This record gives sequence, C-alpha cells and structure tokens, in this order.
Amino acid sequence: MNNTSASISKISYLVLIGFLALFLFADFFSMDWLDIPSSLLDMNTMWISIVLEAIPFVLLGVFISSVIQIFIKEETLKRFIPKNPALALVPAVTIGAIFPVCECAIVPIVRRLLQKGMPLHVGIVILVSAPVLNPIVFLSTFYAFQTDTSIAWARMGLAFFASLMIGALIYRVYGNRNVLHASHTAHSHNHHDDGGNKIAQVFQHASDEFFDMGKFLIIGALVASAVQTFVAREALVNIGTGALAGPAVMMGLAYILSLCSEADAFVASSFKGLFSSSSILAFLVYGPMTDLKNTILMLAYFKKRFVLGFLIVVTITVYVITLVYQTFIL
Amino acid sequence: MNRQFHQFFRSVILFGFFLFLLKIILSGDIQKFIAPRMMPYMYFTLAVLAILAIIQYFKSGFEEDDDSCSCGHDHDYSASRLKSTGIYLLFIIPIMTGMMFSDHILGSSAAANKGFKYEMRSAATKENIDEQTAPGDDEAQPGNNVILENPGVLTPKDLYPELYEDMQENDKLVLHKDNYIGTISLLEDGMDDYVGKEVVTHGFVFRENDFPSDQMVVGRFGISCCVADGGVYGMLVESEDLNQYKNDTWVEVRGVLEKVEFNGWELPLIIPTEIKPIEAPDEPYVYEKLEYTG
Repeated sequence: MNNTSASISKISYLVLIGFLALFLFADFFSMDWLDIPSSLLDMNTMWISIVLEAIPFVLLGVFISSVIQIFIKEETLKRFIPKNPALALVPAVTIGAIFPVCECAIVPIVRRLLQKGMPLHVGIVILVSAPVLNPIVFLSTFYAFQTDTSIAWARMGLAFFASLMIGALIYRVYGNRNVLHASHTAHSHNHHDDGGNKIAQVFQHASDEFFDMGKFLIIGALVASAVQTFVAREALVNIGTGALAGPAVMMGLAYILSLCSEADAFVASSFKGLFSSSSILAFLVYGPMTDLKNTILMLAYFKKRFVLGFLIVVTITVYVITLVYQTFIL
Repeated sequence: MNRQFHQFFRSVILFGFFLFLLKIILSGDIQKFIAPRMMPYMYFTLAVLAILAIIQYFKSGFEEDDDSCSCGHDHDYSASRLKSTGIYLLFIIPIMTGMMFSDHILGSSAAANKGFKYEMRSAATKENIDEQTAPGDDEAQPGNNVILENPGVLTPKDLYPELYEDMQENDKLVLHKDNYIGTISLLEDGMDDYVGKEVVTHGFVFRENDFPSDQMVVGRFGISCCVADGGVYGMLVESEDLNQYKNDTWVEVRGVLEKVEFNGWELPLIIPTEIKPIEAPDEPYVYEKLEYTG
C-alpha cells in the first residue's frame, strides 16, 4: 500500500515538473518535427479556446453556488412556497431565476429540498429553471450573441414558460410521489458554525465543483471541437435545419455536448448562420434543463423510471415551445 | 488512491492551468484563443486558479479533515484508479497540448470546413428572400427571418457609419486589421457603390473544393469571442496564374473591385494588379466589433 502511494505521488511530481518544463521551454522548441496534421491542431486550438472561455463563467457559477449552498438554509427558501400547487410554481420559478446555480450543482440541492418536504413539481421547476433562468447565463448569452440580442431575451422567456409547463406536467403525472431512491434518507445538515470555516468551505466547494464540472466541460468542448473540425458545416446543415428537424437536431446536440449553462451560449453562437434562431434557442433552453451529464447525476438520486419520465416531459415541452415560438413569434 | 493524493494532484492540475494561462497571456498567444474583450475574465480566472491551487495544496496536508463538509454533496473522489486516471488525464492533456501548440493559427483547412463566412450568410439571407417572395412556404427556415425583421438588429451601415462615409468618399479602399470586418461587411451589403474602386487587402489564401483554378479567397479569420466561433472574412480574387499562391500563404493584393454573381448574390471580386507574399501578422485574427449593439 505504501508502495503504491509513493509511486502515485511520484506521478504527481512528474506531472508538476512536466508543466513547469513546458511553461519555461515550450516556446524555444518548434513542434514541427512532430508533423501533426493541421486539422488536429485546429481541433486542439478550438478545444482549448472553448474551455478557456468557459472557465471564468464556470468559476463564477461555482463560487456563487458554493456561497448559497453554505450560507443559505433550505428552510428559509421553503417558507416562501405556497400550499396551492399552481401558486407554488411562481415562487419556484422566482427562486430558479434568482439563484445562479449550474445544472450540476442544482441536482443535489433539489434532492435535499425534496427530502425536506418540498413538493416534487416545485423542486423540478427549480431544477430546470435555475440553470437557465439566471443572471450569469443571461450575461454570457448576451455576450455570445451581441449581434442579435433578442436571443438572450428569448432564451429567458422560453425557459420561463417551459419551466412552468414542465412543473405542471410533472404535477399531473407524478403528483407528490416519492421519486427519490429509498437509500438516500434525509441526513442532518449541520455545518460547523464558526465563520472562518465557512469561507474555507466555499473554496472547498469551488475547487471540488471545478473538478466535478470541469471534466464534463472538457469532454463537451472536445466533442464540439471535433465536430467543428471534422464534420463540415454543410454536413450538419444536411442532417436537418428545417423548421421541424432543426430544433430536434440542436436539442440532440445540446444533450450530447452536456455543456455548462454558463458557457453553452458560446458554443451555440458558433452555429449561428447555420441553424435558425429557433433551433439555436432549442439548444439554449434544452441544454441547461437536461443533458447527458445531468441525467447521470440525476440517476444517482432519483429513481430510474422518474428520470426517464422527466426526460420525456422536458424534451416534449421544449420542442413544442420552440415550435410555437417559431410559428407565432418569429 | 487516497484522499490526500487527490487533493495534492488537484492542486498540481490547478497550478498547471494557472501556468498555461499565465504563459499565453505573457506571450500574447492568448489572442489566438480568445478575443481581446474577454481579457478581464481571463485575469479573473488567472487569479482564482492561483488561489484555488494554493488552498488545494494546503488542504492536501490535512487528511484528518475529512468531514469538514457534510453537506450531502458528492465530493467525487473516484475510488477506481482507472477512472480517476482518465479524469485527471482529461485535465492534463489540454494543459500540455495547450502549452505545446499555443501558437497554432487556424488556416485554410479550418476555413474550408467552416465555410467562407459571407457565402454562408448569403445563403441564409437568400432563403430568407425566397421565403418573403413565397410566403406560403412555411417549411423553409423561418428562423432566419429574425435577422432582417428584428428592428433592434443593425445593418452594416448602422454598425460602421464612419467607415461607410469613408468608403463612399474615397476611391481607394485600404484594409487593415481594424477596418477589415467592417469594410467587407459593407462591401457585401451592396457592391454597386464600390465597383471600379481601387482596393488594397491582405490575408491568407484559401480555396473551396469547387473553386475554378483562376479563383481564390484572400481572407482572415474573424473572431467574436473565441476561436471556435470564428469565420472567414475575405474577398474573391480572380486572375490567371494564381496557382503559385498556395493555401495558407499570406499575401497582399492590390487591384480593382468588381462585382460577381455568386448563388444569385453580388459579392466583391478583386481583379489584381499586384499580388505579393507577406509575412503572417503577429495578430492573425481580426475581432468583431460588438460594442454597437442597441
């Protein structure tokens, strides 16, 4: 056991030395001798540029969500939720809109809220609305689509209506059934109460979440850059850019890419000119509500059948809402 | 793989990201990934990465501090060695390849794939026009309408008013990095005012597969936020003996502007009087001006 530990820490030091060596000397050596095809280098550059661009927004989201997770008690939130199931949707969307929590961070929060007695459909509305209806997402969408600012507003509007519809549908289908795994019983939430420790916890969370989410971000950026490098845009257009196929293709893409909602706008903006605005909106609304990595996260807490039902409800709602928007408003 | 190892290894990775970002900021190569107006976010990232790396490093010294956070949130230290190795490699690879190839510039291969920016846009606008002439046809991408119908969206003339006046008055158009996108956008907007004017432009050479041998595009990549959203801004050049200019060579072109029909659209075309190879500029990309949004 000691041996493996020793060899493992050797690896860490080797990696560290590798980083330092590259930092100091990479510029002095031409990498031409490696003879890497320029398409691979293009992909590498795009991959890293997507990651670099997303990281500040991920960090911002991670920080704020850590602060909320540590400093705000769920009981306080719960007090504001009316008993009437329809009325309860309103504060749920408001909570979702105010709290800038990423889709990765929101899953454990909602699970905890449900355990503490929050009605299921209210929790789900928070789950789908918080990652998309939030100021940081608005900011990054606004940045990414500065030539067409209507995208950012439409994204928020469509997400708002989609969240309400999803809440209503979940209430119809599931009522207030327990959809959590039985094994995850409510656990007491006692943080150490000394203030200094809380700051440390914020950083603890920030760093942990950076790694938890970073891996999905890096994979998502890799897939996106590979698609951009090796699939000619014409081919993408050929898969489907029509009024019906376009949004479906973009939703599929949003699901597979699993981008963080704070950064997905930048990826979406690289598709502008290729896909219609409504297809891009479908991507921007659907991606934060659910995606591959989120499904994986949800399966950790929720029953399989519910996750499947949730996926179907979200998919149909977003698709229908996008088509309605496309037909009547655009 | 114990917890202590994870903590230490994570601090190494955070430090690696910090070094990578510092390196490309110092060398200026960051402009080959990110548009300059995103720089404040990059400095923020740099600072946060440094803080996190330091905190993570000190945390790795305290293994007994396991329960500092009992918040029901999965601190996912994967037990399986294979899985953690894979996950950490995901972080290590971009740091390493980033430092090794940070000076790579997107060229003709990426351009061919992304498509010639104005051709792409023209295609979209064309469908748009088709649709307006045939309003019954709902199946044709109605989404593209938003670009023309939204009154909040500006035409190139609104976006570049001073440049527009300059171009109207002067008989010679000289493109440089600051007016590159503006000039080309205005030319695409309507060629009639500019036919016969002298033009001096530059950029890298690229051709699409179906180009005849007497045509090539001289253009530059225009970036709005990061390289992944880039597209090529450029102009067609038509002349005999273009074969000597290989893809990706940077050239300066002097010539006279003509207009050409392309998929039913009028695009600028240069009949060159002089083409000479030049060095690739330090800042190979041009950046979209976005401050004018209303």
